[in-house]
Amino acid sequence: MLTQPFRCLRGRLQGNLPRLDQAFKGRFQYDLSQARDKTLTLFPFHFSAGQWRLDFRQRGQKWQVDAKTNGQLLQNHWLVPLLPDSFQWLQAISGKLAIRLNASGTHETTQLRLRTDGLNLLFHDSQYRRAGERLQLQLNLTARRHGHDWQGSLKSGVDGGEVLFLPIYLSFDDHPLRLQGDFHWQPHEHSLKIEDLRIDLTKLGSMFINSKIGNGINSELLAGLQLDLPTAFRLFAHPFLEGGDWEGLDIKSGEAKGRLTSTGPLPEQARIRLLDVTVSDSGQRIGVNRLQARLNWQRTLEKHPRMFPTSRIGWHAAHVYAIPVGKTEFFLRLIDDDIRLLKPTSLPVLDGAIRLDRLELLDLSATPKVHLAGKIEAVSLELLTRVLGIPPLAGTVSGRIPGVLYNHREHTLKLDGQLVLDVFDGTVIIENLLVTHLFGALPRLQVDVSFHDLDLELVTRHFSFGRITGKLEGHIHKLQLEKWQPVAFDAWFGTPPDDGSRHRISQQAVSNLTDLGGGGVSGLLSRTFLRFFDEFGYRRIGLGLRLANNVCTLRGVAPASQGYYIVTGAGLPRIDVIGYNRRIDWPTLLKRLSRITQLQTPVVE
Amino acid sequence: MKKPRMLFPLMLFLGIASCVTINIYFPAAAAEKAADKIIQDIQKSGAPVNEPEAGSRPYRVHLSFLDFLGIGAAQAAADINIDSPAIRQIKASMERRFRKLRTYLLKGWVGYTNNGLVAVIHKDKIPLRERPAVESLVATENRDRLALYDAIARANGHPEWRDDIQSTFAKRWIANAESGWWIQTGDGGWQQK
Repeated sequence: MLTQPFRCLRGRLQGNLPRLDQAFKGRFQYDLSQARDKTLTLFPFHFSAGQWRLDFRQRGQKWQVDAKTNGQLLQNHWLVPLLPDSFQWLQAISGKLAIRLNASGTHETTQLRLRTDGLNLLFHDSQYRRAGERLQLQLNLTARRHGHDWQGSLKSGVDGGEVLFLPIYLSFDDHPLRLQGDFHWQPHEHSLKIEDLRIDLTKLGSMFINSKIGNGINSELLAGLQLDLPTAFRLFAHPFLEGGDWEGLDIKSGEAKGRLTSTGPLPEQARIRLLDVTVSDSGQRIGVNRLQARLNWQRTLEKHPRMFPTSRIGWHAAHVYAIPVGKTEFFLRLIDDDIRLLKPTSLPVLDGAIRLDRLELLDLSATPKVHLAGKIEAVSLELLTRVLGIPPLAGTVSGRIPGVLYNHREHTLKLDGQLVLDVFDGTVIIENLLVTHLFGALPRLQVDVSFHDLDLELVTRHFSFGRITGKLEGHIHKLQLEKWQPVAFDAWFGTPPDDGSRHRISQQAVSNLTDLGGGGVSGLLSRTFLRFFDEFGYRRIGLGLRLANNVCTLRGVAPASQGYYIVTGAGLPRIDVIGYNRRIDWPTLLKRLSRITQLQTPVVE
Repeated sequence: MKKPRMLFPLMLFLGIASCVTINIYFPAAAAEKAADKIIQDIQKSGAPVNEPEAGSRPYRVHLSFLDFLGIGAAQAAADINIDSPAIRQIKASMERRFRKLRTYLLKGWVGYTNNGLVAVIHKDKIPLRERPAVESLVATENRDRLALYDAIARANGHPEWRDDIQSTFAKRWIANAESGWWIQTGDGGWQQK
């Protein structure tokens, strides 16, 4: 091929790269005859449907290489073997790269300039867990070698296409990427320093990183993050909520700014600010309006064992189910894996408040535990029942919350101690409260309730049941609600044994009680002389209900022949109410109850 | 002449022994009926309805749980109990998910496997944008399905029935699949029903 040993104007070359199993061919010319000026050109050079031009020139100490192609087709059968082991998952790669590489230098220094434009890049693994499509990429890299060290800058952008690295998906059509930064690489010290690396994802957020990595370990880090929360939540949280308990949860507005620093391999300090965050839920379970937070987290450091900054979190308004929670501000301390309330905090609930004396969220990254203790301060029952959409009650709820435990792994919320409701001149005590799957598809609640010294006149007036005077006590043991509907309980309502108050029962109440127990005096009342009496005296009233398997079992104050006494009479005319139905279908009983309590005016003939 | 007489007590013993073992056999027919009841309830919840979505939801869950408590259901499932808080819990969660799952089944992105679960199929056909949601939905659905088989076995006092219940469900899910959905054959291949 060679006509002269140091000069050739029209050479041809052809061959095969055995490792890549890829043929190449091209034409070349060179002139090495001049002592000071040597040139070599390779053009056109064909490799895998791409055409290259390569120029080499040496003048004295200086050399220069230019290589370029306008469109190198990427094919996985030769490209994948060239890539490092960490890319061996690539099953397919395609697209076109325009490359321009320029290198020059002496034996001491080297300057490198690389510009790459990728067009329509596509890649994926065999399971499509990692994939990219239609990627439009540009990359500009300049680097300069001094001795062993390299210093340079990188500028890159992705203007279109999409990538999937399960579980993350990102569309560059919606969020074009810009990346820019400087680096300093010392291969002999295994050290890489990243300076002012800035990553922008349009309409989503930005990040900056200053870092020093030695032997693959972060030794110094200063990173900042700014994120548009609604977009981030839609992109990164929505796919995981779909089909789960929290489908429908959304962040409507808000911004996060954060900063992370460390001087060793582990993060040491983080500062996060949340601005004007509004959380909503299509299921109306929770909502937070205008949440602001200034969170300062710190790892316990040997050099500053006692330096812990305060964090603050607050909202303008919030709600849990239908219960509104007013403006609240918490002061917290965030250390390592734990969050602790720094000072007692009041959460306004309706016209009262829930006061938190203690709130601790511990061991959050391993086995999360929540401890809570506080007080309920005079929340109006009338308002509470109204917002919950249950038959309204008068009175107030107040009580001590000695301890609430939330176990995240089992989704259970447990109340230690008693909640006391002051209502109907008496008290209602709620204890042994356990809620499981609180926010799940089928929340379950278990609780024991007991009633003491209720004024029956107030109770019956309230439920339009028909007037009864006297005291009432009772309990609902092992009340179980599924999706807030009772499925089981064992209840008793009755006259206290030592009650000395005046016992009168109206005709309407007698007739309602009879209806419940399935007895037969109501007809009697209206047909006989008894209809001339508005009310009667009674000795004791009592009704027990036990619900299981959708059937309610009834009992009274004492057994009667073929039934049980619901009311035992006293004085004249004496009237006893006897129930004969011992078992009633629960839906039937509910229908009867709602019919009775919805009657606004007593039916008296 | 002698041999048959000696064998007789042995055969009698074996006969009695096998009579005894019959009682602890997995009640396959009842399990199939129970599986059909659960599967049809769930699939009904995802079928297209005329009422607005939000309005129909509470009623649906409420009715199904009354069905379970009611006398009718107790008679239908004489041998396999499908009424426990855990089963109701899981079923409600699967019912809520089914509407979305059904759209993936119709598109051929998800299919019923031969072991009573669901799987993402035709991954190359799913737009990258949809992949995380499809994968996540399939993972939660499978968690619920495994928990359901376990809960049914436990509700019947036989935790060891779990695998039998799972394979019963595997057959019944496929039998109850709408035509056009993808189902996995015994050898692991996929075909359209």
